[in-house]
Parts: sequence; C-alpha cells; structure tokens
Amino acid sequence: MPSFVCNPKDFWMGLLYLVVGGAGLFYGRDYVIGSAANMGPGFFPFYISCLLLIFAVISFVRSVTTTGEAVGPIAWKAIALITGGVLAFGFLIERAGLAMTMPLLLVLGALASDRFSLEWRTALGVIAFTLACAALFTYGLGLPIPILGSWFR
Amino acid sequence: MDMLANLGLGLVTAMTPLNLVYCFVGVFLGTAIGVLPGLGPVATIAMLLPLTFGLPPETSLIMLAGIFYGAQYGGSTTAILVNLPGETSSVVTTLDGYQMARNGQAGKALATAAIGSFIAGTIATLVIALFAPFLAQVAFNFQPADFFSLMVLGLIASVVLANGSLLHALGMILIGLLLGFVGTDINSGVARYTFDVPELYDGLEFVAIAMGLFGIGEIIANLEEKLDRSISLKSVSGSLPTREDWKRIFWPILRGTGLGSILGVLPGGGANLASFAAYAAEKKMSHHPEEFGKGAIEGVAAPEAANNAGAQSAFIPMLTLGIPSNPVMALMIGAMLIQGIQPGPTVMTDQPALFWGLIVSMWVGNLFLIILNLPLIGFWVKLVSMPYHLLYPIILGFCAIGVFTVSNASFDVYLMALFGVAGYLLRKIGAEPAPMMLALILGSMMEEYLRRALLLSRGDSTVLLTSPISAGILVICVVLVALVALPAIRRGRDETFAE
Repeated sequence: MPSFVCNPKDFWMGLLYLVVGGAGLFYGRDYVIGSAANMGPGFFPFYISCLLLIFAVISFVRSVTTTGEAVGPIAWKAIALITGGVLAFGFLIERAGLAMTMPLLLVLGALASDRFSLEWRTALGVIAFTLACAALFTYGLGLPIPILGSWFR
Repeated sequence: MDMLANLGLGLVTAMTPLNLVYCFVGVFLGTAIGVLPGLGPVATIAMLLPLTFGLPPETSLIMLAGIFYGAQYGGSTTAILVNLPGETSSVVTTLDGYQMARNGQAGKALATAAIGSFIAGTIATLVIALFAPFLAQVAFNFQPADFFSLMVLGLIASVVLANGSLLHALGMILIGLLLGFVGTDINSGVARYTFDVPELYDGLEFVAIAMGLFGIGEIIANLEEKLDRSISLKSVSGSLPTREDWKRIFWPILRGTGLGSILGVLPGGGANLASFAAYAAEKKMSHHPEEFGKGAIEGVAAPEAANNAGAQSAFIPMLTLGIPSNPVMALMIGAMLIQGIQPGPTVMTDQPALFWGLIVSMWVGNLFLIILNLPLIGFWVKLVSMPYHLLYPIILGFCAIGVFTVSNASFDVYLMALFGVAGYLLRKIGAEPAPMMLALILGSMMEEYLRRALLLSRGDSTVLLTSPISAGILVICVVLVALVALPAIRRGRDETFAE
C-alpha cells in the first residue's frame, strides 16, 4: 500500500473494484454489447464493469483525501487452516470418502482455535460427529456421499 | 370470505402430521441457532437446504421459514440472560431485558418476550393474509419496466439499511450483479465468465456463496473475537407477568407489531430496523422514560413484538413479487426454485396450498415457540454457554457436507472456501456482504426484465420513467439515496447502528 494513503479501507476497496471491473471488461471483451433495443450478452457486463472502474477511482480519491482507521490484523492462520480443510474436503470427499475426509476437516478446522488440544475427548467427538453425519446423510437421507471413496474400491 | 376460505386451506395444509413435525423441527432449530453464539439463520438455512430436497415443497418452505422466525425468538433469550444479542434484531432487547434479569425478573422478561412475539406473530400472519393477495393482484399488472425498477428499489433499500459506507454498499451491489451474470446467457446462449468450467454454465451456486460468506467467513471472523459467554445467573427466577404488567405491555406490543409489520416489508434489515424503531417510539411515548435502560418491561415487549412481526412480514415481497428482501429470503427463493416453483405473483394462484399453508404454519410455529420457550428455558440456558471452540468445527462440518450435497460437486465446496475468505476479508475492510448476495440473486433477473422492457419500447430507455408505477418506484429510490447522503440524516443513521 502506498504511503500517501490515509484511508486504507477505501484503498483496498478501490483495488477490489479495479480488479473486478477490469476482469469484467477483459474477460467480457468478446461478448456482443448490442444496442438498448436489442441488448447483447455483453451489454450489462460492460456497463457494470465500467461503473466498477468509476467506483475504483472514487475510492482511490477518497483513500488519499480522507483519513480512516487501519484494516487491523488478518487472521492468516485461521484462513489457511479453515479454507485448507474445506478445500481438502472438496478434493477428497469422492476420492477418500467421508470416513477419512470429515475427521481431517474437523481437526484442521479445530487447529485454528487456540483452545484446541489433541486428547481422547477430542478424538471421541470427531469420531462421533463423523458417524452421525454418515448415519444422517448417507444412510438416513440416502444422499450419494461415499463412506469410503474411489481410492478404496 | 375469501380470506377465511384461504386461511382454512392453509390450516388444512399446515396441520398435516408431516408439516407439523417439520414446522416444529424448524422452530426448534431456529431457537437453537438464535441462542448459540456465532451462528445465524442464513448459514443454517443454507446448511439445511439439502435436507429438504426430498420433502414436498410446502413442507420444505415451512421448515426453512420456521428456522428464520424461530431465530428471532432465540436471539432474545441470550439478550436477556447474558446481555449478548443472539441476532442483530435483538440488540435493543439487551438494554432493558438484561436489566430485568439482573433485578431478579429474568423469568418475567423471557415470558414478556415470548408473549409479545406470539401476539405479534399472530397479528402479522393476519396482515400477510390480508395484504399479500392484494399485492399479488397489483403485481399481475406490472410491466417488465416496473419489475426492473422494483428490483432496483430492493437493492437500493438494502443499501440504505446496511451498516457502514453508502459508496461501498453500492459497490458491493455492482460486484454482486457482475457475479450474477456468470453462466449461460438465457437469451443468446453465450457462456459468460465461465472460463470453460462446466460447473459454471448454470451460474454460480448461490447456496455455496451464502454458506461461504455467512458460514465460513463468520467462523474465521468469530475466531478473532472472544465469543465465550458465562452466565452469572444460576437459575431463571421470576414469575409470569401480573395484571399490572399486562396493562403496561398491551399497547407497546400492539405498537411494536404495527411498526414491525410495516418496516419488515422493506428490503434490507427490516426486522432490525423495526426493533430499534419500536424501542425508540416507546421511550418517547412512555410516562416514565427514566425507567428505560433500567429494566422497563415495555422496553422488552415492544422491540420483541416488532422484530417478530418484521421477520414475518419480510415474507410478503418474497411470496408475492418473488423479490428477496434479505439474504434469508434469497435462500427461500432458491429453495422454491430447487423445488421447481417459479417465485412471483403466480405462486398464490398456482400453488394455493403452498402459499396459504406457509402463512398459517407461521402462526402454528409461533404457538410451538411459546410452548417450547417457557418450559424448556433451562435447556436453552445451557446452550447459551456452549463454548464456541466446540461449536464451530460442527458448523464447519455441516457446511462442507451440506454444500457438497446440493449437486454432488466438489466445485461448490471450493467455491464456498473462496467466498469464505472473501467474506472475512470484505468485513475486515468494512464492506457488508449482504447487498452483494441480493444483487447476485437479482442480477440476471434484472437484466432479463430490462431487456424485455427496452425491447417493448424499441430501445427507448425513458420507458422506465413514462410508466407511472416504474417512475414512482424510481423516485422513491432517488429519495432514499438522497436521504442517506444528507449529512444530518446520515449522522442519525450512524447513531442508530452504533447504539
């Protein structure tokens, strides 16, 4: 972030608008815009993206002309563990199955808390919840969630 | 007489054993999440959506609706017992409710909240039954231009009621609209922003986005804050309201119900605004305003009646126009679409059993809630103090499994993870994700209506202003934006939210 920015939150929002609006224009460059009477698929995306770029400019101007509080610390550890767990769940659910994936997600997620410690009660809770999910979703509701995935077949 | 016949049909639908059971499940879960820390109705409804796939449409909507208004009930319990609002709509209840509990009147405060909510729920049910058919009738005459303007109003109103910067709330709407265009364009068949990913051809799965923004994102944000609660209260003491109390709360409940029913229809945070407004009104009208903040029973009765009435009247625009007024209603629309029902004015005529069954079920649900809350209060008190570090892995597990089951796609799980991070970071830089969520749902609908409107007018964009309905709605939009932009009102709005 440049040093002349006095309002960091506006700066980051401006950057967000710039990226989203820019991506909207760039990836939508081949969509036919058409006319008002006969709108093409690119009509709305084009004008919304342009508006976003205008919002980016306004936000950048505000970020140097006004002062505001700092963004504050970002919980990178929680982000990494929680999203890492969810991504792993998505990748492994059909490959390894619920029996492996759910405990992995629960433990990775729980590691994000300072209060977590690996002891027998935690293990019991993880097993109990996994069993409950299997009973409810796979057997009870008959949803196609594999208990053991394709790796084990 | 029509209304009686309709309510009769609704009663028959709501009273089938299956619907009664799911109504009970809904309000029970709703109360639980209202009581539990860090879990809101949006994430819960999104998580439980897959459980409703196998149910008949009316049963599924009855349960999901129960979760929403049940949460308003549960939220008041934590507000009174631990001075922490379970839901934002019960923030003002902490002011007098917690003071009453400290004065040894916790039981009376809880009973007042429950009775106020029940009376409000009953009246709001009648209000919906009276006005929804009328509104749907009006909506039948709406032209595409009118629908487009109405959706603009929905989005603008959600901005006005959003907490924080007007600029960034509008910006979030633009981002949401753009995200809403992802997928195959219904008119031209062109795949927009799909990057050759087959899962994106049908658009972004909004359940995954809702769970990401409001489930995963909340978890990451909550882990930063200390959410553990301790109850100083060992037992809930106090009795039911006396005859004297009844005299004091009778009019506040009715006034709260009135305010709630009107404000709840507004898009954005209807129920929240209603509870603030009802509290402020009672304080102004009271003969003993000095008691407010020190345990005035009116200060519990009025906002609780208002938020419950508001939660119910929020269904009016969703049911009659197919326009969501908040993220929960957006999910309800999603639930209807999954069941193959196109939301809009035709629901009432094509699916009368579903429409009236849902409305009457709200009254039945309120009856359940009063039965559930008064004797089971000890159980809820235990839930209030549930430590967050034990709770959130369970939420995480349910979110992951729930989003996967929507269409058995790992892609949706990745999408949820992505929007979880986005939701957390957006809150960090001061942007509200709710307007984005509404815009995402409305994006392609708005595009379609505007396209049709301009096709009919041969490209003349003044059609938005020459149609009286559309022009009127757009004038309201301009007034709303002007009101928020004016410094004096802006300050008042900030103070209301800061309280």
